[in-house]
Amino acid sequence: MIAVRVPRLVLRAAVWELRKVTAFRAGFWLKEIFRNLARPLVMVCVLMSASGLPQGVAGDGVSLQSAVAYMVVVALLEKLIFHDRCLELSDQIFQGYITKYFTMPFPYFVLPAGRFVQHTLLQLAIVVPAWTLLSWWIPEWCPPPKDALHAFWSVSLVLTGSLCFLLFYFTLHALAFWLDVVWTTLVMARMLALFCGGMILPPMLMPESVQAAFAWTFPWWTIAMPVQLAAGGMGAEQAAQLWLQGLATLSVWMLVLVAIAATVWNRGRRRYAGSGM
Amino acid sequence: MLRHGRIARRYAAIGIVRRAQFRTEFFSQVIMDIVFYGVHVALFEFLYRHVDNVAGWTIHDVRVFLGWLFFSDAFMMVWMSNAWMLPEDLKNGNLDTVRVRPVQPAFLYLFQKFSLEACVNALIALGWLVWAIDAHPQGWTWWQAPLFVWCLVLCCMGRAAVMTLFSTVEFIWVNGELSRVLNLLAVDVNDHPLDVYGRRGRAFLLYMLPLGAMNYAAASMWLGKCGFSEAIALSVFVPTLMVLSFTLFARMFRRYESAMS
Repeated sequence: MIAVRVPRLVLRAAVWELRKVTAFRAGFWLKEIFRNLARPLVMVCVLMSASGLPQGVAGDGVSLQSAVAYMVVVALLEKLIFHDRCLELSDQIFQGYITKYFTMPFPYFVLPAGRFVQHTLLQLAIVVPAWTLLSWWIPEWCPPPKDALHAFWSVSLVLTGSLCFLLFYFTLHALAFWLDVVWTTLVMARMLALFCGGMILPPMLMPESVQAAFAWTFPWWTIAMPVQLAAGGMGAEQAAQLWLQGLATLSVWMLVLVAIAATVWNRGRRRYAGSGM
Repeated sequence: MLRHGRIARRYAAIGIVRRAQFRTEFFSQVIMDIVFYGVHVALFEFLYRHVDNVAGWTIHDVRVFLGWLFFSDAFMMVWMSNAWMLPEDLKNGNLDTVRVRPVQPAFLYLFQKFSLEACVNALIALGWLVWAIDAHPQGWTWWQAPLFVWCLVLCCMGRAAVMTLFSTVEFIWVNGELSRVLNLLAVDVNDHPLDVYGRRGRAFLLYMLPLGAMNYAAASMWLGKCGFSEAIALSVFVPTLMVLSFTLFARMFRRYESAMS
């Protein structure tokens, strides 16, 4: 019964979330359409104005064109990733109005899951046409995926990674059961995730030891690797191997994050006194 | 001015008491800003392994630029973190107390949340700035001390001006959270030297939008990236901008009605 009811509730929550984000036009344009565009585009300006980067493809893979193309695709794919501002859990705990959700006959996680579905569908509807248009208009700076298979590999990693981000941010928000205020923790985590995921600086500009260290983290497989996979600079066999490796890494991360999120949530609920500040 | 000073002192006292309530938050914020500094430093250190300069800025110039950026950010965290709460407070009609208006409404509201932990970060930022200036090949002399102090003042005034200016947008489009978006945009756009956007882009971002007032103006004045006449112009422009944005906020505040949403 629950197996049928919960997915229906998630879809219902997603529809309501969609109505909410489209309610205010200025906010919708700025927060949904132009979300996450500024930082990668600023990096593009930085790279364009830098002197010293080779124009063509260099032996070590570092070139102006590859770095800029990487950042342009990051600007698109990063929009798909769930982010901490999509959740209000910490505020709800701090102000004490999460109590009402505890009395409702469905798991609280239905609401974040509904928002995740809404966010993913809406951003897919923005990213797919934008990528198609840009890769037709400026293919040298915004390369299209090598083929449909590479596109699938790339997007599947981004979406699986996005689910990891949901669990990660949910856990950090739930720390408000103990810490009351967690916005600094969230900002800190976001900055580190952006850097580890190659969303601030193209990985080819990072030292190899740093790249190897970041490859243990889920943000790396959420963005840095999918963008490189989509570009198709490697052989099909190597790409398939990387995709499987990414999927395995993200799956392990997801299991770990589910366990942590469930533990933090259950322990936090037991501690929660039901009164706000 | 005296009344503003007394209120600021009171806000500082309240901020210290508040911090006694959330002790973990104290360390969390200090670490958060250190991560912010670390990410920026790593970004440029990695980038400059592959490039000679970015829009005419060498690695030494950028280290000094980052010092001004960190200081400007720390000033915002010490005094102006309440600006991030304006969209919600406006929506919920929480600004009634500001209506009493014993002083400028912008000052009364935006400077409300003094942050003790950000003072620690301001010290770290100043430490980085002094180190970067000292390590810069062009060096420094004691004669530049007044310029250094003036640049610090400009940074604070520029940050206050821009954040106040962005906050006024909230009174026009309630519920859009535009000020928050603009502030985030400012963080992204302004943490690189504005010269990367070309001459017109730089002029737009310095004098029209005017994000450059926050830290670029001080950095370029200190490093001599702008001529003497532009340095004078910036020294007049930034304080004027602050006065204008505070006045604009006071005007826009008249549109506020309790529970606007």
